Amino acid sequence: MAPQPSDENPPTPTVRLLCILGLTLLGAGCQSSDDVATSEVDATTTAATEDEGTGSTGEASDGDATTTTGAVDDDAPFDLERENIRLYPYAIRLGRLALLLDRPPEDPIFAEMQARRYELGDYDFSQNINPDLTWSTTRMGHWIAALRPVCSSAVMKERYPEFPQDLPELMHDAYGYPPSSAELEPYLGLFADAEDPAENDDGVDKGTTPVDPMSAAVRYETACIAVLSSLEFVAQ
Amino acid sequence: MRPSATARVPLLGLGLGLGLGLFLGLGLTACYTGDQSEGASTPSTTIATDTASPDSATESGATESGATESGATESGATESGATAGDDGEPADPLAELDRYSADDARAYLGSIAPMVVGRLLTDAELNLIDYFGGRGIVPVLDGWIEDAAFPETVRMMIQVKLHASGMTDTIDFELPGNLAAQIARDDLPFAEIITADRCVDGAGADIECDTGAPYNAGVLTTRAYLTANASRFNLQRARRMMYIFNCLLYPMDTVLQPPLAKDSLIPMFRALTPEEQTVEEAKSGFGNGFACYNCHSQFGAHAQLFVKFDQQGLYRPEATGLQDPEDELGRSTGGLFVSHFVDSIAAEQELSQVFGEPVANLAEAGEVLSSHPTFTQCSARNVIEWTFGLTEADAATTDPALLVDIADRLFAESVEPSIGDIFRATLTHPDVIDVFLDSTSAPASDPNDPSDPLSDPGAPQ
Repeated sequence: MAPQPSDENPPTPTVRLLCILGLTLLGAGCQSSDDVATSEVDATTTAATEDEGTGSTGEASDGDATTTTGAVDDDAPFDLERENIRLYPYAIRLGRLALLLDRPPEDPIFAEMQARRYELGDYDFSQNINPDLTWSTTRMGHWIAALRPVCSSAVMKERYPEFPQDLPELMHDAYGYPPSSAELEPYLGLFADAEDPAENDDGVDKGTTPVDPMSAAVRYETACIAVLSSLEFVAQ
Repeated sequence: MRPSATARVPLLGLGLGLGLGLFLGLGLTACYTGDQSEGASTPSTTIATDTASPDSATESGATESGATESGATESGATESGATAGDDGEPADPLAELDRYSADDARAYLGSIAPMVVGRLLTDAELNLIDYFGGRGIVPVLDGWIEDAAFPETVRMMIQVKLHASGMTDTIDFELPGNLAAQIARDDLPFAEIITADRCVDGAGADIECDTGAPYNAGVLTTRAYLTANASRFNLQRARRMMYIFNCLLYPMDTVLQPPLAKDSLIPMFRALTPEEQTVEEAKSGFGNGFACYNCHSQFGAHAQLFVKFDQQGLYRPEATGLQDPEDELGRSTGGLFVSHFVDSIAAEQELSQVFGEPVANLAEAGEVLSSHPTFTQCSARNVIEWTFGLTEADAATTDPALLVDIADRLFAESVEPSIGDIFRATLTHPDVIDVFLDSTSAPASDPNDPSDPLSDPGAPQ
C-alpha cells in the first residue's frame, strides 16, 4: 500500500505527491511504496545510476517491474501476456506529451525530458545505448522529475487552467477516454481539503516543513504528474 | 505466389548465369550436396516457429538448434476461418470484420495507435469506428499509413531491429532508418530495405552509400549494419540478416537452404560428431566442438557474402577470406573475417548461394531473400513484434500459419507489398485482433454505467 497521511502528522507536499502517485501507480500494481519513495529520491538527483535494465534491448527484465495480467489463450497465434510492464518507446512518450500540449518535442518545456532521454529509456546504438522500456524505480523517478517543468509550465496551465475542474479533460486527452468516477476519486480527494490558494500559492515545495498544507500550485503539479505518469499514459 | 526472383530482377538473372559459370569454372560444383535434388519437392516457404532468439546463440552458431522448419505449407488456414475459402478466393477483408463491435474496434485501435502513429485516436477516426463498427478498422489503418508519423514509426522499428541509430565520427548509423523511413513515406516495395541501390540522408534524399562496395543491398550494405554485426567468420552478419528479414535460424530446412558439401568447408566446420572434430581449438573451447556441419554448411553460404567487408564495414576487394595465422580463429588479415571455404580461390570470392540460387554478391542475395515468401511473412511478424511490444523471443513463437495467411493476402493484391501494406494486412487480420481482444478479457461495456470508460457519453452514435 502507499503511505497514507495521518491527521497527527500531516504530510509534506512531497509525501502528498507520493501518496497521489502511489494511488495511481500502485493502483495498477506497479510498485511497492518503498520503491516509489526511492524513485522520489532518485528524481531529485540528476546523476542517477542506471542500475537495472541496462543493456537490454527493451525486453522485459527481471527487475522491479511487475506482472501484468490478461487472459491466456494457449491456441492464440501469438502471446500478448507479459510478465512485466513495458513502456512506450521514449520518442512515443515524448511525442504524446508534445501532442497533448500542442508543442513540438523540441520545445523548451521538454528540455528536462530531453536531457534525461537515455535515463528514460531512449536509445543511441552508435553509443551502445540500448532501449530500455522497463518501468523501473529509477526510470519512474526520472520521468516524474522530467514532468515537473512540463506540469508547472504556462503552456499546461493555459490548456488546463484549473484542477480539479479541468482534470477530466486532461485525463481524456491523455488516455483517450473520459475518466471513470473511480479514476477521478483520488484526485478529487487531493483537492477536497484545499487551502485558500491566496495564502500559499508560491509553488515552492517546502518539503521539510512539518505542517505544510499543499498550495494550489503543488496540488496542480501533483495531479498533473500523476495523470501523466500513470500506466494508461506511459505503458503499452 | 510472387514471381520468381529471376523474373523480377533482370540483374539477378544475369547474376545467376554469371554465378553458375564462375562456380563451374572454379570447380565448386561439389559445394552442394545432392540433398537439393533428392526427394526434394518444393522448398519450404514458411518461417519456423522459433524457440530461441539468435542473439542468445554463441558465435559458433552450433547452439542454434530447435529452429528448423515446421512443415511448411503454401497457405495455412488459421483458426479464425477467415482465410481463403474452398474456392481459393481470399476472404473478404471487410466482411470478416463485421463480428467486431465498435467498442472492440475502439479498444483495439486505441491500444495500438501509439505504436503505429504515435498518438491516440482522432475524433474523425472515432467517428469512423462508431459508424462502421468493426469495418472501421480498415479505413483507420489506411489513414494511419498515410499519416506523417508512420514513416517515423517504420524508422524506429528498423532502428531497433537492426540496433542501428545515431552517429559516430566515422559512421552514420542513421542510414538504415533513413532508408526505412523513405520506403514507408514513398510507399515503395518493402523489399527495397535489402535491395535498394542507394542510401538516404537525414533529409530523405538519395546519397551514395558508405561502404565503398561496387553494389548496394539496402541496409545490408551500410556500415551501420556491418559494424554492428561484425564477428568472426561473419557469422553474426549472416545470422542477423537471415533472422531479421526472413525469420530463419540455423540450421534451417535443407531443402530451402541446401548445405555446402563437407569437403568444401574448412576442417573445423565439417564435424558432425566429437570424434570428427580434428581442430584442436574447436575441441577445446570454440563453439560446441561438434555438430558444426549442421549449421555451418548453411552458415558458410551466407557468411561468404560478407567476406569482402572488414570489421569497419568497408569494402576491401583484396580480401582473401583466409585465416590470419597470427590472430584468433575466424579472423583474416586487415580486420577482415575468414571464409568457410577451404579452397583459397573460393574463399576470396563473394560468389555463393542463397536458398539454392547462386548469387554473385550481397546485392543479388538481397533480391533472393526479399523475393522469398518468408520475407513478407517475417515482415508481418516484425510488425506484430513492434506493434504489440513483444520481445524478439516472444514474437518468434508466432504461429507460422497466421504469417502465411497474411502474406498470401498481400500477394493477392500486390507482388511487391509496401510496409504500409504489410502493416494494414497484419493489423486488420482477425486472428491478430482476436489475440488483442482475448488478452484484454474486459467485461462487456455497460452503456448505462457512467463509470465505464467505454460508455463515452460524448462519443458520436
